Amino acid sequence: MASVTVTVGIIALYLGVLALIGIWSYRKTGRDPVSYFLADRGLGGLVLTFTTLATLLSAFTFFGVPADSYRHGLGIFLGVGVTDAFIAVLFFAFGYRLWLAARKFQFVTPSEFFGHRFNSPFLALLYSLSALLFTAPYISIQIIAGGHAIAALTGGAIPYLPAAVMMAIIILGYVLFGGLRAVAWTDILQGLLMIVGMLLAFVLIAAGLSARGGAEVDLQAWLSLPGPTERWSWQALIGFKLLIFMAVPLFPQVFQRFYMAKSAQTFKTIMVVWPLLILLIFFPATLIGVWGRAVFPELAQPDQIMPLMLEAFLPGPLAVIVIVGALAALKSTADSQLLTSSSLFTRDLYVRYLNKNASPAQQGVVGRIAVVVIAVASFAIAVNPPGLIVEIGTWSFQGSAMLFPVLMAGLYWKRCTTAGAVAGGAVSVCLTIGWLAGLLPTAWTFGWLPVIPAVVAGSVVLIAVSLLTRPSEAKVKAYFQELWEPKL
Amino acid sequence: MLDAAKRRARRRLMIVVYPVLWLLTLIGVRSADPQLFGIPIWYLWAGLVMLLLIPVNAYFVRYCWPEPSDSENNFEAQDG
Repeated sequence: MASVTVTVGIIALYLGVLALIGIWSYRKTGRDPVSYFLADRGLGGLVLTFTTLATLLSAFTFFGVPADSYRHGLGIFLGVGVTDAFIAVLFFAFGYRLWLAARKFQFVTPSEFFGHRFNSPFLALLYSLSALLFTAPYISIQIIAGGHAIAALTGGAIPYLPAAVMMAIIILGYVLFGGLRAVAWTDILQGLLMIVGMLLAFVLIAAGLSARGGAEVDLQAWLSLPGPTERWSWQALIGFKLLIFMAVPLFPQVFQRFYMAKSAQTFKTIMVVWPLLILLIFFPATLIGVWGRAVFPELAQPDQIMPLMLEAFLPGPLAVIVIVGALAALKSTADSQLLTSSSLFTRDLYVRYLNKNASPAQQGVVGRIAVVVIAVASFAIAVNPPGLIVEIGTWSFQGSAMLFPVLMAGLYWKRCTTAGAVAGGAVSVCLTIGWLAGLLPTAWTFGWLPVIPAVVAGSVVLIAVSLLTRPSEAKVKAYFQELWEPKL
Repeated sequence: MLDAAKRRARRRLMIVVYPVLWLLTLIGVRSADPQLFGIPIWYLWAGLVMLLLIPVNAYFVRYCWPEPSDSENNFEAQDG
């Protein structure tokens, strides 16, 4: 690795640029919630593409994907990478319709769509509480990973705890003052750093391995499915793909980005560019993990494979730049989760239940206070994490996916009624949480991830109850006839 | 009106195209051979299908995207 001075210098430069963007954004950001949480609904194609990319990819992509392929082979490329590329379709299927609805009805948070579409404060509350429950611990994981990365980079010169505090303060600073505008603009820098860092690592590691000659370890089992541990069976692969496909649009930080587009053209740009960006990240990340098996065959902790490969094949300063790219990935996820959680608290809990007459300026202030409170709570969790990153990540994904039937029906099924959506959503949520909390027998999941059978059961209930009740004609007219499917 | 109907029909067609593309990524995944530069062909093929999404999506946004509704036109006008 590079000397501590060089390492600290590169990190300081990176964090300094982020801080400058935060200050610049503060001057541009109004005090009202639409300005603070949605950047005045004015993000163009390039900015929205990078902020969505940087928000979606996190520590899991840089450290988790190579670690997974090190243990289980190339299957994660199909399970997560390819699925993430096909998510481009959702920018049209979900994003465009949600954007139209948000512009017309002035939604700020995801739950406002559910509440308004089905005329149900219960559904809005259900989404908010489940989003807060499943997002907050994930924020803390990003802080933990960032703290560990800086500590490792500096060879322990900056210990874990001060590094984690530094990470939290920097994120807090530019989120607090610059709001979404700061997050979005820093995400361009962070997205570029992630891509450049990953490509740099890929090229230099491939060249280094080529110079070393053939691998002595037999990697055949890692290069096909189901992999050496048989983790990537057809059932597991399909289950993982379904999980990603259902969870990503319902991540509050991704859902809210659908509201931020400047125009329909923004969605067209992101839909075309997206698969390339995902390919540039996942293709190298997965291979680096498998190649790591040839260089470090018996690693006790596979999470270390990426830093070890960087250390083995990249000159010191370049390795630091790549790790800074990894820091960018996890920071950009944490800041977006922080801001979105703050908006959920402010709009869905404070304004709805505590101060119905709060002015836009008051909401802006409460939003900022909520950012501090959630950041402190996340940091408190970070001191004693409840599980491994991958475990918490899968837990969080399932928590996001459980309301998928309600979203799908809300956007595409005119016949869906309030009673159907409430009943279907409640069944899906109760079953998912029941299985995740260990309250229901795991045998009932038939080997699937718990959220899959929960969503199937929720969908059946949603359809059955909807067919027994009548949909609101006013809502069907407002959403389908006037907004999404007008007769031209 | 005619154009709107054509776009709707193309969108229905794409509902088939995307799953077919997705299924194509699964070809040959149970075998590590053949390989190119030590990378299994199925892996390179899956990457190629991801790249293929770029022209397919470009076609979608050009020929399948719905005509702007009145409400969307109003948004554009508000934005200046």
